[in-house]
Amino acid sequence: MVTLREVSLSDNNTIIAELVGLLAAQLPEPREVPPETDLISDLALESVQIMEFMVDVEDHYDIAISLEALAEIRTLEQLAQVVSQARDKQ
Amino acid sequence: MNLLDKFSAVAATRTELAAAGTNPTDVVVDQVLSPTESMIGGQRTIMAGTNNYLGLTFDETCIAAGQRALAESGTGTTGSRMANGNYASHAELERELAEFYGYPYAMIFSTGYAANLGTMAALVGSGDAIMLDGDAHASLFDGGKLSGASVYRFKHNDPESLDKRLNRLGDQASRTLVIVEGLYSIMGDRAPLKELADVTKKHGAYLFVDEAHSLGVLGEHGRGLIEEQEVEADFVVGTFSKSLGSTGGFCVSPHEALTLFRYASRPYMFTASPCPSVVATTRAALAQLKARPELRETLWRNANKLYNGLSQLGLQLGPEPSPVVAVKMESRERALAMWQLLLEDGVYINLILPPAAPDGSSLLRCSVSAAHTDAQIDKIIEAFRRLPRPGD
Repeated sequence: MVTLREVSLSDNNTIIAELVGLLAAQLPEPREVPPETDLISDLALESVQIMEFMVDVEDHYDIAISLEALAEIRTLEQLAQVVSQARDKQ
Repeated sequence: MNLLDKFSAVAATRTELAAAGTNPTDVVVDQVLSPTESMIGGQRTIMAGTNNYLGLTFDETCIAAGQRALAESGTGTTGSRMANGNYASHAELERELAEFYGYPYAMIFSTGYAANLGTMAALVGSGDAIMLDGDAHASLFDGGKLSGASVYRFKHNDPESLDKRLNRLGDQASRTLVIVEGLYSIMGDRAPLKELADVTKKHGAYLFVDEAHSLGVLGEHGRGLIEEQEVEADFVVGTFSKSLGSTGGFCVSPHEALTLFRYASRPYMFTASPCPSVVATTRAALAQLKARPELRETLWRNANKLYNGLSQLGLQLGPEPSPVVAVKMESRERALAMWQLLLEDGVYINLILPPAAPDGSSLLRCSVSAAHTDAQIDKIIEAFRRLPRPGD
């Protein structure tokens, strides 16, 4: 039997895989991006690129992520959780 | 890591900026010769990065009005509008601004920055939302933070992006302030205001337009983009520190609620009111703006001349001619070096480095004045022509 936690983890993994796809547009060349990657310090993304990435994420999932929520996000894993929660609200 | 360690990165940037000669963030103007010329480093320099669009900083009527106010009312108010600092001239300026815009209500602030913060923080709060154009000025992001509202960002100048995001807010859209600028300060492009206003209205949200760079610049009477595109905004905010050549800011509105902002706007309440001389020069400059439409015509002639001249050099410019002319550079290092060469050649402009530019690029930003002569515009173009080409 699949538990609720397992469903949630699987959902998160799917979101992370999709986020990696969206993130590719902001990277100068293809690279591995593990879930714990820090978007700023590990990928050296400029704030402008982060903003463009977030607009793509919002449009892809048809959700709204406020700037104060964004300020708390450092990794893809954390972003996936925010995306998941925003989708649940709708 | 202690409290001060975070400044080491700033110190490193400052050292890098200063390495080439003059630090672009620390230019000292030794003497102001006119609205378009100053002495910098012992050299007579054309000022092409001042936002002094109408060139009114040395207007005789403005100077005389300021001198009279200094003599009659003293150097400062020493208090808030809520206390001892509420002078008749403040109310007169508010009345004149309301009349100029054809809106019933107006309110002035001690700076343009405070006008944005003060209006936003009074208007929205926890439970409300702000929908902000992605290229909006830092003061508008700061106003969002101060307000406590949830701040969302839509794609620059994109009504469809705004529509989608307001849709996602559902019922909260009617408690949302949509914020755009008339003329964007870095690239010099206009907002598609009519379309953005239509989307805002469709969702029952409120429209806030920052006309800091478009007052005196756009519209038949210089009222800004709202006049040019025939849009009635809920709140129009602007500054006195550009076309009007002084300091301070304002908000005008058709909503009577603006009169209550005086009791809810901390950046209005907890600071000294504008000095009498500043109010006097602002009022005189507003009268000049109204009486002399030829200033706007000259401004645009100069703006087109500079834009076309730089375009003919093959430089990559902002999307449309305007009094803000942005020249894109290939790299941060080249931008810094070219800025230095221009200053050495007697031309001061603004250096914009990432992340200040919208697309993360590095820019040499010029701003044009009605007071620039043809010869000065030619000299600016010539200074750009003399710059080494990439790879030279």
